[in-house]
Amino acid sequence: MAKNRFIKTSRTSTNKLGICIMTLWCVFTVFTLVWIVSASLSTTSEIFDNKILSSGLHFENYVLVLEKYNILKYFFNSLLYTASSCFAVIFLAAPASYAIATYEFRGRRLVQTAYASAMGIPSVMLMVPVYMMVGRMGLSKNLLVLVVIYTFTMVPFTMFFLISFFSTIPKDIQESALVEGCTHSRAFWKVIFPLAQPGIVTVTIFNFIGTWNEYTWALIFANSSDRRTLALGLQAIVDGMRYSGNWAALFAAVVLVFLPTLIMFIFLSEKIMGGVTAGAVKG
Amino acid sequence: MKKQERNMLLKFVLPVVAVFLIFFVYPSLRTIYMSFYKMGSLSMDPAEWEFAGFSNYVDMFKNPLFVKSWVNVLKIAVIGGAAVFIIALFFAVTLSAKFKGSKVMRAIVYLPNIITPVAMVTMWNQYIYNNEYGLFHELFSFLHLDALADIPWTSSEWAFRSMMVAFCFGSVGYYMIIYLSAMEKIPADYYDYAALEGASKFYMFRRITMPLLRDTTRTAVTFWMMGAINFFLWSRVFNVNPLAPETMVPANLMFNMVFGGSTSGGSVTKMNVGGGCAVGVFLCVAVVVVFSIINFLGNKDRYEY
Repeated sequence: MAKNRFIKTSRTSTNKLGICIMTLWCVFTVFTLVWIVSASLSTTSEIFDNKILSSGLHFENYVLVLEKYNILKYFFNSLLYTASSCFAVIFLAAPASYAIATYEFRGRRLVQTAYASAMGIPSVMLMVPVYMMVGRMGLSKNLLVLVVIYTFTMVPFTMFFLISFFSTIPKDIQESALVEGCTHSRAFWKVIFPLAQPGIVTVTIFNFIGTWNEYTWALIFANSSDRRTLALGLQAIVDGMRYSGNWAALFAAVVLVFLPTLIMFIFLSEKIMGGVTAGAVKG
Repeated sequence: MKKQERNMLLKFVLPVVAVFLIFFVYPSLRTIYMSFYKMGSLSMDPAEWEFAGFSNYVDMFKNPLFVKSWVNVLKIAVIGGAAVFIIALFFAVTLSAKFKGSKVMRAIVYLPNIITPVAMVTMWNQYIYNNEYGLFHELFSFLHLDALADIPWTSSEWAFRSMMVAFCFGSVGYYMIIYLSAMEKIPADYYDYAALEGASKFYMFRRITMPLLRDTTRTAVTFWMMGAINFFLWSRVFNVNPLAPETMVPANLMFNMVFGGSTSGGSVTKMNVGGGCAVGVFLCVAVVVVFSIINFLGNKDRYEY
């Protein structure tokens, strides 16, 4: 086929130099990860002598981190903050996005523009008054504060994503639900919302990764040993290990922290990388 | 029927309007307001705040740490940005030709984006940059590049450069993915005809790919600039001393001024909440300015395909 030959010579011809550089880049990344996993199974003196894994597998590093350093507690804190806020934001943002995407009403443009600009508001602009509000309400030690804050911070992006998603759902579906006697809100919850699952799943994956890795708000509202997120917990462990000189356990903590997202990425990499462009290129 | 529709709209839209007002508008205005006052600490009663006019802003511009923090952001935005975009574009071009293993490579280059940044920082600091068993130390010793092997990457002299390299390394994957998917949308015919006319690969990249990636580049540059201006975590975690001027950035400076900066053994800065708010307001203004400039520059002659 003549056409294929041309494609081969133009766009899809391989770039040998590029492949070489990318291979080195990937080897660097994978080697680092493998080394860190191996170091987490060695002893600190083996690490310093460059003889990792020479005396078998030392799972006691993991036992130490899990038992003495509360990492499971931090893990469940992160899970609580992240899962509840990712769940809550859908119920806040999905109905609003649907209304904005499919109904004409006064102020519709205004709400849409307001939320588009909210995506650009730096969190440092919000943190002082929010901290003071929470303090005045006497809630600064409440676990739920961070859940509520995460829910609110995710609203702009979630709406941005879902508005464009809901506008792709054909209007006939909504109309036929209304003809069959559904009220406007029932038409959404019973008919449109279930159909929107693919979009909701994609935006939730993004919200999940973003919130799981969030740092600034957690530093303000969850920096005590019983409320810490995994990221802050790791930082506390790293600070502690540097003084106690237990590098093997330090790497075990690092592995425990990146493992959950790594496993998620292995299963969902196509969906995650596809979603990056759906969110970025359309805007 | 109309009334029922209105009820639904109110029920669906009012909650997010309320969130917008309570969580975005009120705190922003309050931060601006506070930037004109002097107050010792966050717990101080607002009745005792002292009106200060523009003096917080005047002090801010006189503060060498503030100037330094913006120089650092500028370096990240321009030098780091140039490196990230060139590498990302180069990788995207390489990957646009599907070859064996290209999907795995794409995933591995993207991988740092999903790892908790604190874990990333720890891997770089405690392994790659370590001076006794670290990857760079071992690699350069093995290659007999002793001068390179002996560089103390995390010392105050090198900390900023090391931090920037580590941060940029992780960012490449994100921009690579954005460029790659934009390239895949360009119709293959364009390249076929250009090839028929005898155009070289580089010529095609310059005259077909680059112009058609203009909109993507605008979006990507906006993201990058927002990330650079809001740079916070790396500055706080990378350096053993989160208050060190070498790795200081505005968001971190503000955090220290407002909440007091003493996490782990670092010195304690004097709290100056109003001054911190001024730093935040200036940061927000910078976001708006940069956003407008990019929009203004990017809107000239667009191509449709």
